[in-house]
Amino acid sequence: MRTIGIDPGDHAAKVVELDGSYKKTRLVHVGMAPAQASDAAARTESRAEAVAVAMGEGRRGHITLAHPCREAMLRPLELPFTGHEAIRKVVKAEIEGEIQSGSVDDMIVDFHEIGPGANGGTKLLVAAVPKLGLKAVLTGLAAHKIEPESIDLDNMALWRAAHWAGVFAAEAGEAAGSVTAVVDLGSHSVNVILVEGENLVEMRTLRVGDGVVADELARRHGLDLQTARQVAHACHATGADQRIEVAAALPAPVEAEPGATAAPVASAAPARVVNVTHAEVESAYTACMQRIARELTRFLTSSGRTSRVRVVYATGGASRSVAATEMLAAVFGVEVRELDLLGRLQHDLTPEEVAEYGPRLAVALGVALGPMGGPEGFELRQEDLLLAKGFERIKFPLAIACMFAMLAMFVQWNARRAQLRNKEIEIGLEFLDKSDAKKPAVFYGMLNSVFDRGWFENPQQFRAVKSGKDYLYRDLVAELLASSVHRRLNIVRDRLRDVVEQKQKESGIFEDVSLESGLAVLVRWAELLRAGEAQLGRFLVTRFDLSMKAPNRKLEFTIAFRGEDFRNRHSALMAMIETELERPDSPFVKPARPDEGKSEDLFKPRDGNEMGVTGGYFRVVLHIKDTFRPFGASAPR
Amino acid sequence: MNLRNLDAYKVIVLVAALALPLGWWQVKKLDQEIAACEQTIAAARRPGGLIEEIGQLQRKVEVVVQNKRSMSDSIKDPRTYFQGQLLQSGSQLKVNDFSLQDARPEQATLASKQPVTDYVIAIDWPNKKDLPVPLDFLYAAIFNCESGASAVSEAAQQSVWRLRDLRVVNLEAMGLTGGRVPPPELPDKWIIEEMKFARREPRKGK
Repeated sequence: MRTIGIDPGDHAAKVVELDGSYKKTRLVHVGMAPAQASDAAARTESRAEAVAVAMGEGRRGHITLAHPCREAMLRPLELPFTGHEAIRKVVKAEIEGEIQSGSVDDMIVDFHEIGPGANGGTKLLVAAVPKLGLKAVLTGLAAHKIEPESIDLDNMALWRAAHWAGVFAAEAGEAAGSVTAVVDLGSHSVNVILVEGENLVEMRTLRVGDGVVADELARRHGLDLQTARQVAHACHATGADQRIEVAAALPAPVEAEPGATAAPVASAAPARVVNVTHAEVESAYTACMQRIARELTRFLTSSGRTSRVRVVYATGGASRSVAATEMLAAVFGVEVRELDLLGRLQHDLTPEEVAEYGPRLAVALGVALGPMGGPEGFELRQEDLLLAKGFERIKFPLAIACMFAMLAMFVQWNARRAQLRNKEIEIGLEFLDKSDAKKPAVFYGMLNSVFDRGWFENPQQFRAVKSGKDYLYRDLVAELLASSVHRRLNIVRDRLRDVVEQKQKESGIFEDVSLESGLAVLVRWAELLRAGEAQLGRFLVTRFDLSMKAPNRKLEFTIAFRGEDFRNRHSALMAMIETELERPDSPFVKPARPDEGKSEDLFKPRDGNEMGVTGGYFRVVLHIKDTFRPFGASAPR
Repeated sequence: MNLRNLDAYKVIVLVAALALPLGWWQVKKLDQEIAACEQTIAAARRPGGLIEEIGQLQRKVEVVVQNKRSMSDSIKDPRTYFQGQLLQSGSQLKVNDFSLQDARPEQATLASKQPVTDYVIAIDWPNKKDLPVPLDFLYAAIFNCESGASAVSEAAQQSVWRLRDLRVVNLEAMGLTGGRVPPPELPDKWIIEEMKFARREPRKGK
């Protein structure tokens, strides 16, 4: 896991990037950059810039910002119940009466359980931080594209860093209930926490620090803060006076009179010499230490744990000075140790860098360690300061869009379901009588009309052998119920085909290849001759020969006409036949060779029986179609 | 994702992320089923469609069922069948007046390229010259054999046999050769020179 901890600091921003886990942590990056602005208005912007510089490029990981505890209001509170969520619900209302300096609605409130209270309750340490200051810090950082995901108080970060360093571990022969003090000596504030065992029991921020020495020098000698800080440091470190040359203060601007010529602009401000004595620096430093000592003593006295403090761990920019160490030893009356964090951390810093950064990184490391584990601190990213990152920013409109999409999808699904049901009913959806489970299924729609007459239920009609077993109506219904509705008509058709095929094979009845009826041909021929009796008069058919064998199907007959008009009557017969051949449902077809079979055989002029009878025999051939409709409607009447 | 960070919006989005693809898949499935149903309805309603096809198949089954017994008999034992049908056609006809040959298979192919086998049975009339028949008898005999009509059974029965060949000559006209003048009227006495019936089966192996 990668995490980034940001400590905006009083006059220098510190940024660390860690990798690994809470137990095995590696320092990936450390950056420190001084804040340039001295006035309060530009301080926030200046700190944000310093953080951006300290962070550098290419940092990635969970970013946690340390917020100075001096800007928070800390109040102890005791509630008569336990449970983190239950406490969270009421803590803001409970702390409202404890805060007089502002409305609790304008503050972010969080709490830390410091132990059990009386009568089974919970003791809390409640922190209230004004939203305005936090928003300003976050806005300043956002301008540099730095968006912390969590915000914690620097005191909590100090506790976590010390916990990670293992300073709370009990030592041999140590009395129960002994307290470890951790002091962070900053330039403008001193953070002190008291930890019993591993539990944080008390913490305080003293609004005083060694920065007051530089502030006093700056005020007294007209120096900027940065220069004053450097001079104070040099005096304190070398023990000698410091003589520096700085630019003289510019005169106040005078409003030019009308018509007056503009004054020439000075090329450079005139320099002046400032002499800062070691005595005045030490005096200011001693006064500062005395003040810190006084405040610490007051705090310890109020906490009631003075006698139980077993060791003091010091960190912060001023912690390495002998005066500070002596002051702490005098106040606490116990051994003062340096909180060595870099010594426990995997890193590739040089010894010089370790010496420079060592005492200054406790808070930054503490907030960076937060996401990895360890003691839980405050979370000030709450309410309207909650980080709306990526998905969080769009989740509300996205949720609304999703709801509409789901609604639209449901409407579409429902409409199609209804449409499908209507279609299925039209084809043959089943109806099952729930009151009588044994009752066979009934079908709607087309299947209903197919099954309506009970035709399929007759096993003499609908029965097939499938896989050696009888396939009956009930099997068909079972198959239909198991299949999709749109396939049901096809299934009925297919099963019926099977039945037809089997029955035709069994019976030898093949409707599709049935022979044409010879009787129908004879009937049609007889009808033809009877219809022409008026035109033909008396005629004699002496023989006829029907052959239905393909491909030469024909009806050949011999007809005799007696009388002078025998040829006319024969012509009338042929005309009738022509008319017959035109009829669509006639079994006869026009011959390929029209004159085929129209032979004429005249009567003998002298026959034994009769003399001088005129007339003749005619042989007529009628070709028969391959298929025709027997006993058709257009038969001559 | 940490479940503790789940809020209502995230739950909605999460549910939508699951429900929307599922819903889309369901809607597409319903669309396909609707299309399949519409296709079936169209296929059923068009002329010659599924409903008509089912009706035609039912009719085919009915034909087979209604005639199964008679046709089974007529196929298995055509001699008995034809004897029964012929004897019903004329009261003066005797069993010895005609003889029935074995059914002879003739292979053919229909215009639809369907190969078929015609089983042709010939009915011979050994004493045909002594047994002239009237046309009424002739028509009755052909009708009985083709229709399967039975005096015993009341049910209408359809025969598989059809008249294949028929050659008939008038008894008196038999002597009228070489242009001899026919009498003004011929007697209703006819000699059956040839009478054949046939049934057809489709041949496998098409």
